[in-house]
Amino acid sequence: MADRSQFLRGTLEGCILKIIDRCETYGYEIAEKLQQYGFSEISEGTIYPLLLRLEKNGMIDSVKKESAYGPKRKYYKLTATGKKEIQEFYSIWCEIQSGINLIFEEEKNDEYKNDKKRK
Amino acid sequence: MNIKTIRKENNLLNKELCKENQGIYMDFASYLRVSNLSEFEQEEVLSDILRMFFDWEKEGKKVKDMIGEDYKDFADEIIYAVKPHKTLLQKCKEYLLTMIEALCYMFTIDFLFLYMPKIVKGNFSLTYDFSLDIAVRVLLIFIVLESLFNYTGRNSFHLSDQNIPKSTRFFIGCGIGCFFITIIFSTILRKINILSIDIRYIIILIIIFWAYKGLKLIIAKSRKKL
Repeated sequence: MADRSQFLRGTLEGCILKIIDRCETYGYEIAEKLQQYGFSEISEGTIYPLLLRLEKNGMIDSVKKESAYGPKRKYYKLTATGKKEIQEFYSIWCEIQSGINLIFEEEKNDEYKNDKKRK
Repeated sequence: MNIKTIRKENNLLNKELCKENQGIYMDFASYLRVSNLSEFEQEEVLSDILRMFFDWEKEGKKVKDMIGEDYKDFADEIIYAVKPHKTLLQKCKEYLLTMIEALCYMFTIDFLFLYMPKIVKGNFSLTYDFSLDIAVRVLLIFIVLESLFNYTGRNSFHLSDQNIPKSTRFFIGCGIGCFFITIIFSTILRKINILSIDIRYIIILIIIFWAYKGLKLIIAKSRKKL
């Protein structure tokens, strides 16, 4: 059976980078946005280690800002390396997507042709 | 912001969380303290965890629903993401500094209770006898405390499931361990003297140590004011 989490692994970082690219944002908001896009199983807890890794690898920068309650909130913004990474991620994603589409469409076409021959 | 300020802030804010989340936060703190993360990284991560807990609590969400039931796994993921690289040299340096600090505390206690009364009475020609018993005691107390600290830290999530509070178990263990070690070794090794130093050198060492401690405290306070 296809495991959604396996699919997401590896692609989630690219999605997070794209969300941060749009505007400076924080972990909780990123998780909410991902949920709005249909990644319902993603929580802030899931993305926190990814944000740490992205920051460690120099793709995002963070700045702490005062919050109405609790400790200061960490806001993330994209670095030049992060911008480059998004472009690479998207081009790889497009290649994979078109490859998968070709396989599945060809399969569909073959089935259609076989059905026609039988008739 | 320095480490002590962040730590103080984290400890204060932790008290504003609900009891259940306070417990989970403490487990995370204990686990991270024995990891390879630097002190600064530990406090940064703990501050982020606090931030998340506050948001989830406000939304009425449970921690286990947000990070799953396996807290240890989540903590490991965080440590892996930060990629700490503490070298063997750094670890040795940390242990050595702790040992030196422990020795200075011991010199202070010995001086205050054993030598100070004699000096007050006018006896200035004293020598500080550093026997094998003292050296072994310091080393073993250090090993026992370090092992217990590591054990409770590494098993913090598992130990919290049991009934006796972790801090109580920790202190009971330390107490029993130190008591037996002290009794066994002090009687056997007391007579073997490693070093005899003029008490004035010990006094100078104690003064330097406490002056350094005081200076560190003043600098930390002045930084906080800035």
